[in-house]
Amino acid sequence: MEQQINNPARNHLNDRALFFLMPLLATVIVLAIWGFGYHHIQPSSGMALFLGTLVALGYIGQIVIFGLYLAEEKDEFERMVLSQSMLWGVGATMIFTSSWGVLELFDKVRHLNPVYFLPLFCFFMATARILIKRRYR
Amino acid sequence: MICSTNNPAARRYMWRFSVTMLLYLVFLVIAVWTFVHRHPTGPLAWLLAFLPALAILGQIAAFGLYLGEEKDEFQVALGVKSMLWGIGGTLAVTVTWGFLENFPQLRHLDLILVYPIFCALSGIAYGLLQLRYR
Repeated sequence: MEQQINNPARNHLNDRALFFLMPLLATVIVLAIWGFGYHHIQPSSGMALFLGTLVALGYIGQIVIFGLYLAEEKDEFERMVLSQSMLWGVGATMIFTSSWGVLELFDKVRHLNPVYFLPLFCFFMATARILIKRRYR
Repeated sequence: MICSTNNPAARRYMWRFSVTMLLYLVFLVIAVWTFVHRHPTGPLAWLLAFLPALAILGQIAAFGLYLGEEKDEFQVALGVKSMLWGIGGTLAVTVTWGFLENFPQLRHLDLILVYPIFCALSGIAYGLLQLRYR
């Protein structure tokens, strides 16, 4: 716990997540549920593109914050665990989307909205991180 | 370039990548041909859909092996960074597209394109990062 508090890279990560990411994600959730989910917003093409990009900003922010953390982290082991878990996350997400894509191409399954890719990637990466950490314990 | 290097880890990676890429194309053609001509259902359809993904698994494993075998820390950092940009870009594109799919003007994104998008963006990021550190 003390190690985590004294780790400047981890502190930066927490600050960025709290002050940049959380407000962005809150905006995305409100927009998704209230705006699109209940059809309160019926934007034109240009506005739709702007809102879509705004929504993606939260996700891009998440990746940028993660990249900065990876660059700032001095602990080689932590970096190795993160890189490996990212690789597993990417692999599992790509396998899932490609298999679903082939089935979808021939109407064997319904269309999966690409919005769910990020939560899927985060889930796979978090699972991989736990398993890798457990392996090295 | 990574293809013309004397680095054994990079050479092995290129070889593994080429083989798995060839397998990906072959598996994809087999899957599509079978779906078009034989109309499989049930477990066989799922198995066929998983075939190209198996080659993707091979490519990701090849990259993981390369990161483990590569002695040059700088090259490892470049590989990880380009993968991060690749997945970041792919997720940004797919999430934006996904939200825009709520509107009737936009057609559905073929999920089969997600992996090629990731590869292209990772490749571009790798090139740009190499240029930056030259």
